[in-house]
Amino acid sequence: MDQQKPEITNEIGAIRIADEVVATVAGLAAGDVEGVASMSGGWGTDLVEKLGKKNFGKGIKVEVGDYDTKIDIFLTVEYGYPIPTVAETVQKEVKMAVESMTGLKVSAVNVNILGVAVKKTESTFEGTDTDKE
Amino acid sequence: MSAALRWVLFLYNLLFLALAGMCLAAAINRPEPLGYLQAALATPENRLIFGVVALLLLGLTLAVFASMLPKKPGLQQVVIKQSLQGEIAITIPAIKVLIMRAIKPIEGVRDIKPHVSQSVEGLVIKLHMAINPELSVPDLSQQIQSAVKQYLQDIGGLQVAEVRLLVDDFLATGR
Repeated sequence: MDQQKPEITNEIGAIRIADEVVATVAGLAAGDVEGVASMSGGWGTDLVEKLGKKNFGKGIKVEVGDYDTKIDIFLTVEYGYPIPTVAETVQKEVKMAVESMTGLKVSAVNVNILGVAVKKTESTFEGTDTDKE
Repeated sequence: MSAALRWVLFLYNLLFLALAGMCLAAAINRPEPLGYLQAALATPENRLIFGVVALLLLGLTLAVFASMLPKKPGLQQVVIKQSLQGEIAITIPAIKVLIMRAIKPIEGVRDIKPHVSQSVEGLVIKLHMAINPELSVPDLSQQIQSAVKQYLQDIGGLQVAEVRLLVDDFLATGR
């Protein structure tokens, strides 16, 4: 069985929310923000998506604690959008969505920008490390 | 090289020296060392000791192999902002993409290789590039430095301390 997850209790019983559900809510909220090109889930997740199984929690890492929740987001930003503005909007939208839909308290939303997507005619650059120094 | 690795290599050298000595002796028709080894392996207790030593050597060899494998570097990133809401960070490869986009509109520059590091005052950007020799190098350099610094500050929200340029090569001019 899954390890003990934090739960919301009421007079009828207890409600437990899986991390995957929180990740899906956060992923959908983040993906809707203007300037976000895509969520970065890694090559394994991309391969599974190509086989037809959509993963809305891609690029999201959730830690649900006893009293609060921490969310890490990995995404690619569209070229031309100011990155701090996009990231702050993602933080606000994700926090609002998760708190309103799940009732969990979100203590931090950490946004990690992994790449910049250029125009659709060119490919997405997630950066090739040319460092030899 | 660490001290532990040096000791391991020293032990390996001793072992190979002993092996080489035995093989050399056998080659010149002096099989006494091999005879001593066979005599030593005749008793079960000695065979057990040899087995344990062999296993230890095997473990040591595997550990040395593992330490020699190239380590995948961790994802380097730069923190743009920290607030009560959380942290906003950007990876070094993403910063390089921004640098390339900043330089793209500038004519007369090609083969750009950016290198990004961090200092107390902010980012230190080093650019290796090839430029058109018919253009003024000081003017072009200043244009590139301003463009990169401004773009990273405006779009990336990043503090740039320095932009250093190194012109490796000149572009071939078509005449």
